Amino acid sequence: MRSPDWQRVSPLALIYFTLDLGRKIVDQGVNLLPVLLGIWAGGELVRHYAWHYGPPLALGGIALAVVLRYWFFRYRVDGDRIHLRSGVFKRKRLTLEFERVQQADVALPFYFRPFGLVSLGLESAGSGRQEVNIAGIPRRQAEDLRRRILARVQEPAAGSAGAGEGDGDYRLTLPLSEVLRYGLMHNGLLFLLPAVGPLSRYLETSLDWVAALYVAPLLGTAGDAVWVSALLMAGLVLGLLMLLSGLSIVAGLVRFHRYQLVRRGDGFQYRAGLGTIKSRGFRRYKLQQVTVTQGLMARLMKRFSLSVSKAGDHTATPSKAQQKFLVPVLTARTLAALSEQLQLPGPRWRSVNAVCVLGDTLVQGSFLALLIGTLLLIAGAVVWPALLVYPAVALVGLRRWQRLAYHRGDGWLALRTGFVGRKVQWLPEAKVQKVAVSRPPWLRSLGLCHLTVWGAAGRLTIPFLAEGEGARLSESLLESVTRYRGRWF
Amino acid sequence: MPFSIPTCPQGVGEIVHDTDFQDVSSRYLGLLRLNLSLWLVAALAGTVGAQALWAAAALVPLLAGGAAAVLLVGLMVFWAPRRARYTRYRVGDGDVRLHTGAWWRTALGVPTNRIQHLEITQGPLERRLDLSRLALFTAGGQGSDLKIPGLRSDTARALKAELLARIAAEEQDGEEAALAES
Repeated sequence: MRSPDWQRVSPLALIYFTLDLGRKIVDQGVNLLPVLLGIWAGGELVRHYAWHYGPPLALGGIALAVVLRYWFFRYRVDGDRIHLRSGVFKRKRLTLEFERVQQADVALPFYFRPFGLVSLGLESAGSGRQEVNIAGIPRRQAEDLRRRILARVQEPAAGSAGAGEGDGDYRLTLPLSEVLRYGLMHNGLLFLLPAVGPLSRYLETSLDWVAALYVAPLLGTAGDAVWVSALLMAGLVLGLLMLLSGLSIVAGLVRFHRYQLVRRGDGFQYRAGLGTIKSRGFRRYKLQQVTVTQGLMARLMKRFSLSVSKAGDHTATPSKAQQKFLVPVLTARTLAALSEQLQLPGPRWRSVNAVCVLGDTLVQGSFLALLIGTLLLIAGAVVWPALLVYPAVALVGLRRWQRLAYHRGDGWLALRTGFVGRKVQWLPEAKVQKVAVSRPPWLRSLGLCHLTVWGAAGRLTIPFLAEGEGARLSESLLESVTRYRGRWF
Repeated sequence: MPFSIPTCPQGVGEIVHDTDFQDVSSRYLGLLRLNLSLWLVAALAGTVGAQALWAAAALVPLLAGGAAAVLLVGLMVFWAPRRARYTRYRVGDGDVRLHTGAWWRTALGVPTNRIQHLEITQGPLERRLDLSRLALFTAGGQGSDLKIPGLRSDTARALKAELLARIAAEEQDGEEAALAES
C-alpha cells in the first residue's frame, strides 16, 4: 500500500538525473572498459554493428534510465523525518531523522533558477554516513524544510543557544576583490605542472625549431639560438603558470561569488556561487574542528582561509572535501572577528622540546646525505659535499620547530604547524574521542613522548612533549570529556 | 622462565599511576608465541620449498630463511613476554585505558561517553585458547578504536556488558541533565 503523500519531484529534475548519471558514468567509466575491449576484440561484424547501433542504443539506454530513475524517485515528509524511495531494480528506502542531519544545503543550479526550483542536500553523520539529494523541489518548500530540520536539530541545545541570541547577528560579506584572491591562494591546478615534465623533451626540440626558424631571423642572430629557445621556454612556463592561475581564479569565483556568511544564534550559514548558488549551514554544537590555513601565496597577500569540520569529515573522499563549511578569504581583522564568533580563545602558544630539530636532522638529513652521496659516487665526483645537507636540513628543522606549538585552555586544544605557511587546527576538548601517549625507546630515554588526540573530524599529534606534560594533558583531556554532559554531535 | 618478571611494570607507571590496572589473561603470551610459531613454520616451509626448487645452489633463500627463523625465535623469547607483561587495561569511572608495547610503549584512553559501539572478536587461534579481543569504537574514524587483546572470553563478555550498562546509565544522566537545563 502506498501512502498518498509520497511526492515526486518536478519533471525538470530530469536534467539533474541526466547530469548525475553522466557523472556516475564518468566516475565508473573504467568498469565499461571490458565491454569495449570485448567489442573491439569481437571481430569485424561485432565492430560494425557496435559502431552503427552502439551510440543510439547507449543514448536510448541512458535516456530510459534517467526517466525511470526520475519516475521511481519519491519523497515524503512526516513529522520529524523524511522518507525517500529510489531505484529501479534495486529498490532503496531511506528514512532520515531531522535530528541526525549534520548539514543541510540548498543549491540553486542555473537550470532550475528560472523555474523557482532548488536542490536540497541533506547529510547525516555517524558510522552509516548518508547523503540525500532531492533535486527539483519548489524553493519555498525546500527553505521551509531546511528551517524545520535545523530548528529540530537546534531544539535540545536551546538552553545554550539562548545566550548566543543576545550577541546579535554577525555578518561577513566578501567583495569580488577578495573572492578573486582565493584562486591564487589555493591553486590546486599547480600540481599539474610536474605533469608537463615528461613532455619537456619534445617541447625543447620544438622550441629549438621555432627559435631557429622564426625568432632567430627576426633578431638577426642566425646560427646559435640557444638563449632564444631558453627564453622561449621560460616564457612558456610563465604563460602556463598564468593560465593555471587564471583557471584557478575562475574556479574560485564559480564557488564563492557573492559569498555571505551570517550567524543567527548558534546557527552559521553561508551563501555563495556564480552558476549554482549554494547555501550551507551548521549549528555551533556540531562543530568538531576548526582549521585556519595560510599557504605561501596567502602569506604574501596577508590572507587566511578557515574551514569548519563536522563529524565524519575525515572519511570524506577528496571529491567530497568541497562539502566542508569554508570561509575562503579572511584578513587578520576578519579572522579575529570570526574566531570570536566561533568562541575560539586567544591562543597561548607553548613550544615542544627542541630535540625535535635533532631528530629531524638525523633521520631526514642522513637519508638525503646517503642519497646524494650515492649519486655523487656514481657520477664519479667528490662525495663530501653530500654532508652539506645536514646544516640545510637542520635549518629547515629549526624553522619548523619554531612554528610548531600547541595551546590548551578555555575548552580548546590547538596545534600550530608550518614551514613557510601556517596551519592551526582547533579541537574542542569536549569532542575528544581518544587520547594516546606514545613513547618509542629513544624518546623514553630522553623523558619525552608524543601525544595524539582524536576528534570526530580528524586527529592532532603534539610531538616531543615532556613526559609529565604529555601525561598531564592526556589525563585532563579525558577528565574534561568525561565531565562534559552536553550534546556533542 | 628465561628471566624474572617484575611485580609492577616499569615505565608504564610514569604515565599513569597504574596500581589499579588489570593484567590480560596469562594465556596471551601463549597466543603471541603461537602466532609467531606459525610464521616460523611458514618461513621454514618457504626455505625448504625454495631449496627443493633450485636444488643445492640456492644460498640466498637459505640465508633469508635462517635470518627469519632467528628473528622469529628472538621475538618469541624476548619480545612476546615483554609485550604480554606490559599489556594492561583499566575500566575506570569515566574511561577505559590500555597500556601496550614491549619497547614502543603506548598509553591509550577512550572516554566511555564517546563509545559508539563495542565488538568482541575471536580468531581461530584465540578460539583454541578461549581468548577474545574487546574493541571499543568511537566516532573518530580510522585508528580511533581501542582493542584490548588477550582477554578470557568470559571476561570480555562481562566487560562488554558492564560498559553497555554504564553507557546506558550515562545517556540517561545526560538526558536528565539536558531536561533540567531547559
